[in-house]
Amino acid sequence: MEISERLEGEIPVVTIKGDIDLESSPKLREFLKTKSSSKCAKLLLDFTGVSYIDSSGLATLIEYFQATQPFKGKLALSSLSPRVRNVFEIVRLEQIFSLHPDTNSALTALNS
Amino acid sequence: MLLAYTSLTLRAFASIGRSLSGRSTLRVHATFVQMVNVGVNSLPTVGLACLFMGLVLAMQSAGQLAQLGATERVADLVSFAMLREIGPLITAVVVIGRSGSSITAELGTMKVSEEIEALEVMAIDPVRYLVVPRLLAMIIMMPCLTIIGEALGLFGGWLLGVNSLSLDPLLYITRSLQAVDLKDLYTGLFKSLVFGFLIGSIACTYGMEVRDGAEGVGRNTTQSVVSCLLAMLGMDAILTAIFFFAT
Amino acid sequence: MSETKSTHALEVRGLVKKFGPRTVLNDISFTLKRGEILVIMGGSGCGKSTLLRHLIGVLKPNEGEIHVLGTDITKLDDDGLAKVRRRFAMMHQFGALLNSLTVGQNVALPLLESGNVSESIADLVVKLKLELVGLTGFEHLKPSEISGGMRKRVGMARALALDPELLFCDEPTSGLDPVMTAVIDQLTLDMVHKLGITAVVVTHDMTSAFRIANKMIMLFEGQIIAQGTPDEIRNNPDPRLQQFIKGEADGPIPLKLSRDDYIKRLLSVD
Repeated sequence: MEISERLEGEIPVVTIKGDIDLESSPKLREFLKTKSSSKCAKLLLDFTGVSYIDSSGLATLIEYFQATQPFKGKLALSSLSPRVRNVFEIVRLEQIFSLHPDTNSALTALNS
Repeated sequence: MLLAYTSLTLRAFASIGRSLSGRSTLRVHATFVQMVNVGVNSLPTVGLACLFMGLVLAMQSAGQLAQLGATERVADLVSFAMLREIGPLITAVVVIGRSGSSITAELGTMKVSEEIEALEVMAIDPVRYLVVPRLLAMIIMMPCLTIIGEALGLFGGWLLGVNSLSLDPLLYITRSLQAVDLKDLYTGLFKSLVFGFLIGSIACTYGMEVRDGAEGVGRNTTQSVVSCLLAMLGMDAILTAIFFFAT
Repeated sequence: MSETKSTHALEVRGLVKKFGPRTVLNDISFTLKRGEILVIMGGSGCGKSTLLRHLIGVLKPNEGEIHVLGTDITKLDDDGLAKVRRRFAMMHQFGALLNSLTVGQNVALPLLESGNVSESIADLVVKLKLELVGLTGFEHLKPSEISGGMRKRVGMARALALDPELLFCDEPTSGLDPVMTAVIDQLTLDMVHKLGITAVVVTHDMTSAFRIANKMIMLFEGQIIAQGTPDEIRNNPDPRLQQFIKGEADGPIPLKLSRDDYIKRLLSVD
């Protein structure tokens, strides 16, 4: 799994490539920890390159979401493949995370 | 059963070896939990048993030694016998009855309720997960228990010597110390270490080999206690011969 | 994610198992494609649990091959078997939970033992999985403090903890009330249809079997007497199969001895 970051205006857009599984989710966790400790106000995770996410990946995202609550940080996820979206929906996480079909709509949601 | 015993023991050592070489992790916390079970919780029983044995040894020897006019030699005999033989032996007997049987019963029950099979299917090695912590706890705690047991046994002899035989309290202690040397202490402790290994490995084998439900648990627990006792006494004879007889 | 990507999740060829002189499984062969649900049916003692125990590598067959996720597990050593086992999971008939651990610790066990997961992540996964089986808030109870049906569902949560590619269930719905049976069936369907895993379910609950199966196998006295889609099974004329599906007391599956045999046995002196 590879993580790369670019700025879209003032919003960091993080592109993840590869599977998020037991092997790679600790790496994502490290990355998100730096974001939450720097009180990143808005964050967009681009899932275009993600073909698989397991429960440890979901838990990693939930942990970040918990960490952003005190400083009211916003998180959006974009471009999830149907299979990845199913993983979220089976445990009803689409009700917690804001999931978007593409980066543009996600950016709009973050800016509103 | 001998085959199962050998194979389980080898697997346990292989597992410890893998942990030490960093290829898997040792369950340190679980080992401490077992050390409390096996060791700390056995302490009152071991202490009392050894104290009584100290009293008994002193009483039995007092009559014989008085005929020779050497009542003060009770101190020599008690400390000699306690360090070399009685301490490790009584501690082992108590631990077999208390912890050896409970290890067999616990593992046996887990076997019957498919818990061990479930571990295997989850790719968790039951030897690493269950056997190694129990075996290590046994090996570590037996010498610790033995040394405390021996101290209480010596104290029992001293109590009787001072109170009933009117021996001088300080002289008794000096004689006790002079009668033994370091070899008596460490051979006794080495014995207890070997006993710990035997009890742990035998009790685990009988537990892991349980068949036929609750009846099997009962049968193997009895068998485990009997085998532990015999193996321990047999090993005692061998070690005594090596340390004190053959040399 | 995985190295061997054969199209079959399971492939069993010519499996024979004997316990002493008794043949309990005779020439069992079948395949299962990825993303399908196989239901293995049969009466008590027909060998279906024995078959399942072969598929998860607990028993070794006398003859035959068992390919699980592309690997023949009959030829593997302990380490090789452990490697395949990390990719599948099993829900045991009675849960087979570790009684010394709490419900939460049981579900977290495979995660923590995999060595890559920190405790806080494992805790969150435990919450997700317990919610799936309707047991949110039961983390801190011991298995002895919950009912048999709940233990079973905890077993399901534990089986799903590592997101297996292949899930084995032994009688997943026996002893559950109708609502929970439907919940577990729906969960199995969701796992397969939405996440693309493969499931093997051993059951004699016919309602549940026809609700979830893509493929069915009927075992009778250690042999496969029918296999196919649910429709093929329903329309199979074999009277033994029909008796089993309809749950009739009288039929070709012998329950009682004939009148003469019965009287002969009662009156014979050994």
